[in-house]
Amino acid sequence: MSEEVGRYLWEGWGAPDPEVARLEQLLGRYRYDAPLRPLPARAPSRLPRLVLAFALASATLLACVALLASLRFRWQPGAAWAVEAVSGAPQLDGKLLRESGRLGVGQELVTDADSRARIRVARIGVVEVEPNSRLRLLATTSNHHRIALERGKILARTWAPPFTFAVDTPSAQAYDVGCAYTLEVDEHSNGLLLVTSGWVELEGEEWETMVPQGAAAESRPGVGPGSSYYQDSSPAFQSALREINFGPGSGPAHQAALKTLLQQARKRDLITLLNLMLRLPPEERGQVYDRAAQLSPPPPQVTRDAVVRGEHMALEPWWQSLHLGNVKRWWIYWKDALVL
Amino acid sequence: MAGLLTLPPVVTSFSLAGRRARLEAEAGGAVADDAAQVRAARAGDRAAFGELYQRYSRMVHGLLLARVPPADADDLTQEVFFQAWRELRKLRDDSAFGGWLAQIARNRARDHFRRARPQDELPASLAAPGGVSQEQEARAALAAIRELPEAYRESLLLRLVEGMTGPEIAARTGLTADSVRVNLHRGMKLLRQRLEGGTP
Repeated sequence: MSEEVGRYLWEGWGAPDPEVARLEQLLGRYRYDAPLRPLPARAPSRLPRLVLAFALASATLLACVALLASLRFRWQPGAAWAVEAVSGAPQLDGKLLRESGRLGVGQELVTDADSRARIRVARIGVVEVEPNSRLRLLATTSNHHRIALERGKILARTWAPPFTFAVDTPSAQAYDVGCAYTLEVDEHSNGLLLVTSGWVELEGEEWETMVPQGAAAESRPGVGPGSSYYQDSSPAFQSALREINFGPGSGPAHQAALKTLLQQARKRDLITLLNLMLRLPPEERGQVYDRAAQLSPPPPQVTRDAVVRGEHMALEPWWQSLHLGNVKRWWIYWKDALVL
Repeated sequence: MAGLLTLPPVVTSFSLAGRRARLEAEAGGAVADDAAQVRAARAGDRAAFGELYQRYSRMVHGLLLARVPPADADDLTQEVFFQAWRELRKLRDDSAFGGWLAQIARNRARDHFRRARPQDELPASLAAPGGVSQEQEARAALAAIRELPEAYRESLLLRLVEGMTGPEIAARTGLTADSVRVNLHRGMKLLRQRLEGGTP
């Protein structure tokens, strides 16, 4: 093939190769020259369909979850709770509990030094009853379950809307805010609450305190709950807090305790300081405010004067700035439901 | 004056190089324009898609003709463009429209081949009692090309049937000019041998 012939094949120009030209002439009959037919309508993008499908699936899933949740929380008023003996020989309403039984309203469960028991709190949770404990079922309905712990120790784990489950003790009432905790009542009827998940509200006649995960609160008969504190705070801090909460409220021991507490306080202990500001007399609130502000400056709308005057809501923005979580979002502790 | 017009052009190495460069530049420019037309067509501009059709319909038809009977190639060409119109949003690189369209055409031909047997069997040789008509000759030539390796067959059909130049084929299909040049020359050599009855 000469260069000229190759050029014709390549460019269709120059001296034609007879054979190429002949093939062009022969095959030209197949050349395509038709106009484009009317274009079809385009199908709508698949993305909205996918979004719609996803939204429908999500809505269905949410509806199923809501249905399951409502079934989970539904409970016939007064229906007895299931109880099982974990070890030893617990007594249910004065009778030996061998393996399992039912705890009715008004009935008592007692464990001795060698026995333990497990109670199903309707369908919302479990209470492990430790040795040397005595408790009674006070009430049970779909939206409220209540027991009284006279002495001993329980480990409670529930997953339900706030204030559905309550435990009365001789010195305070513990209200579940979607959580796990241990609650102990000693031989003097003093209470100790340790929260391991979520929140618990501890209420007395005069005082109340919110106890978040990792924190604790003590209570005393006749006084009620003390301020909550983190379990990893220093022993000196905890000892000083005990004196402030349950001591005479004035005098050299009280003053020394307040000084120690403020010295020992860390930024993390702000929950204790904020709670104390409401409990202490006005002349001491300023000291606590100053230390708290030193550890974590308050939002601009929180003024020292308002705090010293004892205005409850004055501290609210400061609480919010701690980002301890919203107690209304109890459902975020859904993992607690998995072990029930 | 008329005689001058019919004279073959004076070819110099300078003018050849210039013409080649111009041809290739024109083909490349067409590709550069594709992106704008593709963008407009994606937005729903049917006229812009019509321009792409004018530019690429012969390429699509040639690629189909390399695989399916001529009677089916016309309809399939339209279907390829319909599919391209519907799926234009899937094309990520607007300047790669030609290569993308070529792949749709090849896939479409493969699907067609799977679904139906060819309706018109092409004669294997040019010889026929009582002489050979041009129609028979054309069918035989087409059959011979379709027996060539795929790369040769596509380039030759685009050149001999659709009348596209080498640079145009390169620009439209996304192949390099060198590949197309080799395909055309080797394909033509094999085709000559087959048409002359020799073994390739």
